[in-house]
Amino acid sequence: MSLTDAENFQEATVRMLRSLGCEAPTIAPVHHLSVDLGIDSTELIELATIARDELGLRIKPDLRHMETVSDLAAELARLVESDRRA
Amino acid sequence: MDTHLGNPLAFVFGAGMVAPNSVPAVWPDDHSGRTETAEGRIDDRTLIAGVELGPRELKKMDRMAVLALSAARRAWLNARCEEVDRSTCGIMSGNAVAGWTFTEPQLRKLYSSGVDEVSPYLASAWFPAAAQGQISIHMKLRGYAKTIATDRCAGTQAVGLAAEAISAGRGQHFLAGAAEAPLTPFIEGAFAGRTALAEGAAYLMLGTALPDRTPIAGIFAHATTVIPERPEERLAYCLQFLEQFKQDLGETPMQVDILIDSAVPQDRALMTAMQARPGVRRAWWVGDYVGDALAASGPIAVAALCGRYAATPDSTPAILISLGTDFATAIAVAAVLEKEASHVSH
Repeated sequence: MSLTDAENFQEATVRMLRSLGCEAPTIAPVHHLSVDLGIDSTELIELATIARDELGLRIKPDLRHMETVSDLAAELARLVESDRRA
Repeated sequence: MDTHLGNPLAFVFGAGMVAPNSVPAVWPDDHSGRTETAEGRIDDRTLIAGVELGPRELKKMDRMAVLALSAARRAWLNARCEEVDRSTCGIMSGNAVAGWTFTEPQLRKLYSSGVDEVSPYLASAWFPAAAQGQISIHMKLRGYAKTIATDRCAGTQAVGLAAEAISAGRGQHFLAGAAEAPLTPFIEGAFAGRTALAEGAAYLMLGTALPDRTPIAGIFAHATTVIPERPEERLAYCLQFLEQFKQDLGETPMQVDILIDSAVPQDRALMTAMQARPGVRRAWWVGDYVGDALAASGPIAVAALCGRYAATPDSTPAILISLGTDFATAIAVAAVLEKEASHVSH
């Protein structure tokens, strides 16, 4: 994944977290999804639906083990790449 | 804390309700919860303003829980509960049909698009205890909490059980009442042919004492029983409640009002029969004023009654009898007069 892709996925991830209803003033890569942004396990399931629709994934991803915004962006990038190859 | 009416199980320090306009009496202040409504439905803007939650939380809740939280917050405000210890304040909540405003659209998605399209919040939004849970979470009340699901009787029973829990020392303060949001195609279809359904919620702030507060009313007795379908046996149960509760209300001869909360048309005959009994001032059919708000009808009637005690000189005690398909619950409510109230907070 190039730097440009990484930045795009970071922006896309923030956009998806906003769609979820996250109202934190800033969302940074180091932010912990649960501790800093208050996202619970059920919201991660909704986030997976948002990600599937936003990124055009063929299946709904399992994001329950994600810890930080950075983790999430990297996982979404990996899933998109994997989807392309499949 | 005896009064000349006897020894109450618990005092009512405040009440909050959200209910259709037809409710006859409400709290005489800005927290009344009387809203602009049509056909038994409560105005959305007023309702959402009352819960103090944003869209991120509201999308996880059935309308039943939103109604509950709105009424519970109003009760808390009315009772001016600043000093109440939230870590020990309990909740007793009644509900009959659970959260179909949330469930029905999800069932359509399940049928048309598959399980992946079903909201992950369905599991925690639909069940009857969701109202109790949302009150606990958002009002930070962490005391003893239960949800009662005994059909129409659930709300009245929740009030009675909370009063008994206070009397037994299981808690000093309880929010007790019920919420119901039955205006959905599935539920209205299931209840077709009966009185038009209405949504609503009401909660009472019950306790033994609050510093510098005058209670409005007392809950003096509670009884729940299995009840048969036959009209003459239902009347016998109601008369039994009347005689028992008149004793509980004290030796002083006085008149009482009877509030019949039922959706069975034949039970209207109970009003006539009970009104003819000595000591009964008037019998009322709750549904004529509240509509058929199922389990919420009883608590809405009690909240309205407390509104009458607070706003008018009429302090006539009342016996509320909720008659369901299988159960009957009755509670006795009486105003706390100024003379007795002076004993309360010491």
